[in-house]
Amino acid sequence: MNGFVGHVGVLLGLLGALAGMACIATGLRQAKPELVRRGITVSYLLLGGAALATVAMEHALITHDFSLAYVAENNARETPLFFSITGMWSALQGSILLWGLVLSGYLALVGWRYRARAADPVVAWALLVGLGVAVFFFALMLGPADPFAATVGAIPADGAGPNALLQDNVLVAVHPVFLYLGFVGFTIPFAFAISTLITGRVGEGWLVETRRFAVFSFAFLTLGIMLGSWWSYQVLGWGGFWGWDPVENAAILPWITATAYLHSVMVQERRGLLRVWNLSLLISTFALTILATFLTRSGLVNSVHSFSNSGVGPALLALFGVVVFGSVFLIGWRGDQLRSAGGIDAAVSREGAFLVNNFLFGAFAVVVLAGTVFPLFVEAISGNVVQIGAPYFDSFTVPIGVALLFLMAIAPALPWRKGTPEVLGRRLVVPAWAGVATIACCVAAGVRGLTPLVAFGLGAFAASSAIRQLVLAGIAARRRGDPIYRGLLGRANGGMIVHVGIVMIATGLAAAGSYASRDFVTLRPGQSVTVDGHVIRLISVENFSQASRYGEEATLQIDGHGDLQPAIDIFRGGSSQPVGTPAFTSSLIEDVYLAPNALTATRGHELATLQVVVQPLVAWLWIGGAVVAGGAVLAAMPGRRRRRPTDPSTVSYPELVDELVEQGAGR
Amino acid sequence: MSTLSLPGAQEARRSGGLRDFFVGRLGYLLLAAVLVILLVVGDGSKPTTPAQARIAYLESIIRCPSCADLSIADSETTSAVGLRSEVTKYVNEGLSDQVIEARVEKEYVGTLLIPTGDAGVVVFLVPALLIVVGAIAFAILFVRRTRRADATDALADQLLVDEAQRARGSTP
Amino acid sequence: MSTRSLLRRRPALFIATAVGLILVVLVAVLATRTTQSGTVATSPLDGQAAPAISGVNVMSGKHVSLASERGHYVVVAFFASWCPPCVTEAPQLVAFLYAERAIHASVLGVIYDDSVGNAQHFLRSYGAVWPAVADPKGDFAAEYGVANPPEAFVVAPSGRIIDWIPGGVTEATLLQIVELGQAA
Repeated sequence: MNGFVGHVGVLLGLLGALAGMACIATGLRQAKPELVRRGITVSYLLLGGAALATVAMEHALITHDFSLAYVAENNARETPLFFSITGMWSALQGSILLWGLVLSGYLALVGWRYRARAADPVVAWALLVGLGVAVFFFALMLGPADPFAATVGAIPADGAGPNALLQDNVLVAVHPVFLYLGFVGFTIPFAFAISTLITGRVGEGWLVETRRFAVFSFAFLTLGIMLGSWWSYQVLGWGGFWGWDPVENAAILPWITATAYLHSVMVQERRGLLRVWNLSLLISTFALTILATFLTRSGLVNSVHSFSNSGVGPALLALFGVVVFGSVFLIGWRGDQLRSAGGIDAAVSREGAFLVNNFLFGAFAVVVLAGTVFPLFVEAISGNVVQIGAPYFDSFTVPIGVALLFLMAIAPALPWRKGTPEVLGRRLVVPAWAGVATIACCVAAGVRGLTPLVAFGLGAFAASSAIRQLVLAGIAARRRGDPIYRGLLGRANGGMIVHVGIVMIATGLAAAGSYASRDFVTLRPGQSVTVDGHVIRLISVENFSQASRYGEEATLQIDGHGDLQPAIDIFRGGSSQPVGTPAFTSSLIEDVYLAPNALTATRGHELATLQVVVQPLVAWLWIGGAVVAGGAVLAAMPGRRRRRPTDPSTVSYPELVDELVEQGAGR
Repeated sequence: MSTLSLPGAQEARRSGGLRDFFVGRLGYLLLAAVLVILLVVGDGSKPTTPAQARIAYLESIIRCPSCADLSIADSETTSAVGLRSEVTKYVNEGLSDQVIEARVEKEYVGTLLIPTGDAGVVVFLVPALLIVVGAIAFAILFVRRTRRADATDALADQLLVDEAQRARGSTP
Repeated sequence: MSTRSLLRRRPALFIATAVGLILVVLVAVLATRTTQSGTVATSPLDGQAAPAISGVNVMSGKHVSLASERGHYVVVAFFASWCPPCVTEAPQLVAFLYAERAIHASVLGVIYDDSVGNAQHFLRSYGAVWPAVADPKGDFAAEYGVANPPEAFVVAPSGRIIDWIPGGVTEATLLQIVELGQAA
């Protein structure tokens, strides 16, 4: 029954998308806006179908309906309700369903928001492209990635249960969801980018209009990546939070290009420049999300995420190919017609800084992409298996990161069009000395190491520069008669808060990366050992048994307080392998992390072998991530009423008419 | 925003010898000097005893058992960390390099690291080359566009002035 | 129109073409890679007598050998504690052993490029209940042509290798192989 309803939902979604596309295409061709509007209404069926399928899947999971192969493989009777619900996205087919649900939600939002402008070909083409992507994913669900496929053979009495690592931590509920909200969200600006390329109307502010979609998707993606990193830290047991795992790299690539886009689009808003850059960045972001899904699900790369091999690899690669080759063709065909007449006047200017920013982020993306696909190339050419690890990535990303921190510090103080060293010198004197003072404090406190000191100093420089902007915005708000908090809203100010968050993350990375200490200790109950100034004492090692899991658990104290209980868990239900669960204490200063290596609970012979990792400033990473996401949300809110750009080529005609009417009315 | 409310303008109105010093060339020279001194002092890596130097050397030549090409110095996997503490233990016990290497090789097969082969260098070279070439192309295009913009601006201004003069000439 | 003036007047076209060419290479490479799945593959050893394996069982200290298992189905599993697919494979082997306990099927592990201590801990913590021998010089691995764990060889009661499964076995695959072998 669940399978039937689910199939109906998917089919409904697919047909709704196809019918919507047909209506919109016909409406475009015959220039009939009412047909386009009808197409939008029909495409709401897409959301209806996706919702129906989701309800069917969740119902099947919660009621442990093992007649569905997906439920039999990813759920068991012992699985708690919470993890049954999150089981929807714990394997391939369900995660495609989640993708389809999120995409249909976004498309319905776009259709509803722009229904009044259905007459505009830009809207129609964008919806066509978006619906086309939806058709792809729903077709996948009827074919190679069918979440509602029936179990082959006899229906088992109990399922295999979710993978142990996916029922270990509540973050399984949020990391994939936020990641998908981010990934899929970029489909919308991408659709508009393709649409403006096809119609040739880049200079009318459409990219700027869809900026809000990009900002929210960026916020979600940042949260998704940080949550994934935090989850790794809590669960995987090596005390690390970023391993340059191919799937991690695949997720951060669109984040990099999206960040570059969010900066570069400001130049387009103000001066109408860098249009082709922005289009390319948007298209790259979307293409990279497809590449990320392909790498994660194709089984080509060995990774902690490789939960399933499947037949969707070729289909996703085909979509990737269509997207990139189609876009490259469009840009090659139209790109030069869309370049603006003006140019960047001076290298030392805000526009110049954003252009350098584009270049640095582009280099960052190239480095990460090259490192991720290099093993595949080597295997193709020579058949050898190589592994690209941290040394490669660190040697490039550290210098790029340092350059970006410097740019982050000086760019907000750079004037548009033309800046002079004198102006910069005046504006940055306090932030610069703040940076030097920070280095002085660190050196005085005994911190050594060139790279981390430079990172801390530049970080303080950049953060002070951002705070300076916020203070100025607050003062300006008060002078205008607005409440001071208005100085925190709006694109520029929210952006400064994001910068502060990035500085916190960079500081955490520098500190944890440079000053981590790792050690192995073996303890009997009652014994203690000192690691890096912390006294770790083993209290006991015992067997434990709970409803959903059982195993051995060690109880330890660090510096005399807090009961930490790293354990080795075995999950009930299906064939589950043991999973080590670490435990750690966290403070603003440092984290002490205990990962169980071997626990013996036999009476009289209790023994615990643990890896102890002490890393400073780890908490700054998570707090910084929250600040970035919060700042991005603040940036999406309307700030003080924007001075309309004076360059008429970036203002859409309706807005220009509004402005003229206002001026005429004497406001 | 009117020019008068620009922060730069306000700062210019305030006079004060100290502030002028810091925002000027000499002030930044002082900043640079202080920075260099701090970084030189701060760079002092912990003085290495002969034992630490030996540990660092051994860690750089022993391959991490669970990785394809990383040494135990570069990897943070459990096996690498474990092996690092073993090597430290052996060095502190006073065993010679050869004995330690033989012991490690007996426990694991083919663990000693051979200096990176061709594949290792290429992976660094390709992006580095791309970035350098990109940077040069970038700089060239940038400079060329800036210069061209100046020329176009001058020409555009000239045309505007001509037209304005003509228009003025035509009004009564 | 010279290339130089084309580059100046239509830089987007130029860059798009260059990027397009790079992408062609990338997509071609990605499309031609094969996944590392645990499916049966052909090995030069298929049908040959399985090379001898013997040694001290690192779990119990007793002596074990492949020859002593003649008459039963044996899965010779090359593994290491550091390879993730070996972790996924272990419970599948446990399930297979339980399912085929009636015919006394067995597993003989061979440690590949790993220390005895790590392998012992690995087997203990994943509930593996089969003997494993060390292969310090890689002789067994060389004879079986093993380069990338996990690799499993199914040896029939006659002592011949009937299947090679790289990349990690599943219980279903093993059951199928035994079924086919018994029917033959």
